[in-house]
Amino acid sequence: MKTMAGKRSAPKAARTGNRAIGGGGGMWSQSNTKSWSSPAAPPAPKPVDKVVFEVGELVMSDAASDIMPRVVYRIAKRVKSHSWNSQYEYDLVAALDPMGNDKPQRETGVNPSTLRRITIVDLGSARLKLDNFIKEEVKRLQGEA
Amino acid sequence: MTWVPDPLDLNVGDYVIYFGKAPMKDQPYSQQTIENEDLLTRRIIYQITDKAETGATSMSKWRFKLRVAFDPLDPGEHAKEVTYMGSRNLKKMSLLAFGMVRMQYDAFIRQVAQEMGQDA
Repeated sequence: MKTMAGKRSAPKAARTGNRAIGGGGGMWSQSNTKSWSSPAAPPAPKPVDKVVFEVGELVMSDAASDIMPRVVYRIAKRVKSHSWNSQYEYDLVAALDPMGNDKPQRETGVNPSTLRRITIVDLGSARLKLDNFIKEEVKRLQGEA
Repeated sequence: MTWVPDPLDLNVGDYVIYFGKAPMKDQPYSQQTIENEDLLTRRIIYQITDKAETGATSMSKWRFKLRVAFDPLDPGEHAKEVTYMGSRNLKKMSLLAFGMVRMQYDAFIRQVAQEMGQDA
């Protein structure tokens, strides 16, 4: 590229440092003013959350989440999310942590995609499962004795 | 807090809970046997299915094979069997501990039922 003054001049916008040459998919207009027009892409709309939780509802995280799995949390607060992939984010407080310690656990800014609603039926089912597990274990121990 | 039980106290057939760090974010879970602490899921009960000496002199002297014995609600995918080196962050669960867990479930279900205006 020739850089000698007068031989070849950069476009006005580039000379003034206002815009990058050729970037962003825009185009130079054919007019004498050589103005730059950019096809300003509209911002992508945020997706609608599949599930919207209410304050007070019981939830649990899935295994791959950052928050503690198998702990039942209560929704403490719902706030508008600044992230690109969810409408809301949630503050949670631990409601049941049967296999952990008793320290209260709070989680803030949790993405709803990692949460699952828990009903009293789910809890009853878990309780039944645990009951059966204990019975089997007692049988096993009695068999060993 | 790092839980380090004596590996000699952990034997085949024992139940343990893992209290260590969270799995790495976005790491895929596998159904395969793996030797990776990151794939252990917290708050579920594993049973020791195999215990072997590795010959190493450090904490990883013992290698445990763990299978998922009890997962209260099973909401997500996780490794069904894990090979874990050492005993760090494993807590042995006794029958009494299971009884305590059941009591906590009972109390919580009663509380939720009352909040919903139902008798448990």
